[in-house]
Amino acid sequence: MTKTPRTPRHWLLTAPLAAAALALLGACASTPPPTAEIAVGRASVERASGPAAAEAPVELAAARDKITRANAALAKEDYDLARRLAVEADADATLAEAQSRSVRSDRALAEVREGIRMLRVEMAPQ
Amino acid sequence: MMNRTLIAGAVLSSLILGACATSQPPPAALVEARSTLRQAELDAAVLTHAPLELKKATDSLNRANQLQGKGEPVDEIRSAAYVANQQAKTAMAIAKAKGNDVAIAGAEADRERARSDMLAGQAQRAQADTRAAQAQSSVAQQQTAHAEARTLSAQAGAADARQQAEQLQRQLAALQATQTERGMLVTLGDVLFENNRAEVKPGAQASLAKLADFLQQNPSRSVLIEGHTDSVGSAASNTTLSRRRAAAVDMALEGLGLAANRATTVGYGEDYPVADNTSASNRALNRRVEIYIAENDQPVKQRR
Repeated sequence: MTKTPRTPRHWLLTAPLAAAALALLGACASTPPPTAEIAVGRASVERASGPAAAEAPVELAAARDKITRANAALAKEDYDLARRLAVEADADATLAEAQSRSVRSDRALAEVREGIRMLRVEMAPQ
Repeated sequence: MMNRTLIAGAVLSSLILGACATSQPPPAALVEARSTLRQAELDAAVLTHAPLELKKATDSLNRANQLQGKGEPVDEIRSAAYVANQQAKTAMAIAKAKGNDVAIAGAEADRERARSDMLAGQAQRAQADTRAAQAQSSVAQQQTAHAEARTLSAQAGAADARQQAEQLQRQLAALQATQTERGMLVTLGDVLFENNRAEVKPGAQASLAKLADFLQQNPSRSVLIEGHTDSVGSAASNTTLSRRRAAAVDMALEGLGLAANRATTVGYGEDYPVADNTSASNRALNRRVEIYIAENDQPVKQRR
């Protein structure tokens, strides 16, 4: 019988433990700093700030608040929280923009229809 | 011996690993997200105008469902579900805005049509007004033309009348006639008669011829021949003489072409002198025949 190099006996016990510890550390997932998500979120908030400010103030305020908290989480290296907040901020800002557009188009349609109504009144036989 | 360690380690790992696994019910955020997505999928406007936005929301919801199925941490599930929810609402808002844009384009086309109809109507009315005005103006022009024609004919008439009047004046002058209220008056003086006799002297022929011509040219004018005398002698004999002299003038005119009963004759004797009878010359003046020629065919107004 040839002598083969032998790992320590306790490796068999420690290996799964080590793996579990690593996994636990990562809290079932591992995240890099969410710089891309925060950039996207900030850009969306910027874009929505002009048009949506009047028509969708609630959604826009929520978006701004979340970007702020995302940056704070990033500073504290709570990357998961930072990523979640950044992604939500992007969704909120995009919704704010869409709602603003919808409200403005409702108004424009009403104006054109009113214009037609008034024209028809003008045109009515005297 | 080794097998038992392996198994123990595996069990331990799975126990620790299993601490991450949850079989929890879906959080409220996920339930809401699923409901909002369903709403968006049923919205025809979303399918027409915002299919990409809908896909984004669907992908996000799928991710949230996977996280839920794998028992991922609830914070992650909630966050993914929230994002899916917001994205579904976004899809519906975009669809509404684009649907409105289409309606606006249609309404603007309607408005332009309505405006052009109104302008066309105004143009038509303006054209109709113009045509009416033109028609009125042409009627007015016709009326003007008629009025001008009438003026011309009136002027011509006036010119004719003037000519006639001038001619008459000349004739009056030629006849040595005067204009009185009873008509033209030609006076045949005493010298044209034999003394105390009714025969007209030949010297009167020239005047009488002119008078006869005039009367023939104006056949409708009435004629009255009056005889007058001075006061010498009786009134009765003067009346007779004057009557006879008037008759003599009438006969002389008939000899010159006058129609037989054209003239009326009358004798007034000494009743209407033109001068007093105190001198020979005055008495001569009174001894006269007056021939009145009317303007028209109405008989000359008699003195009495």
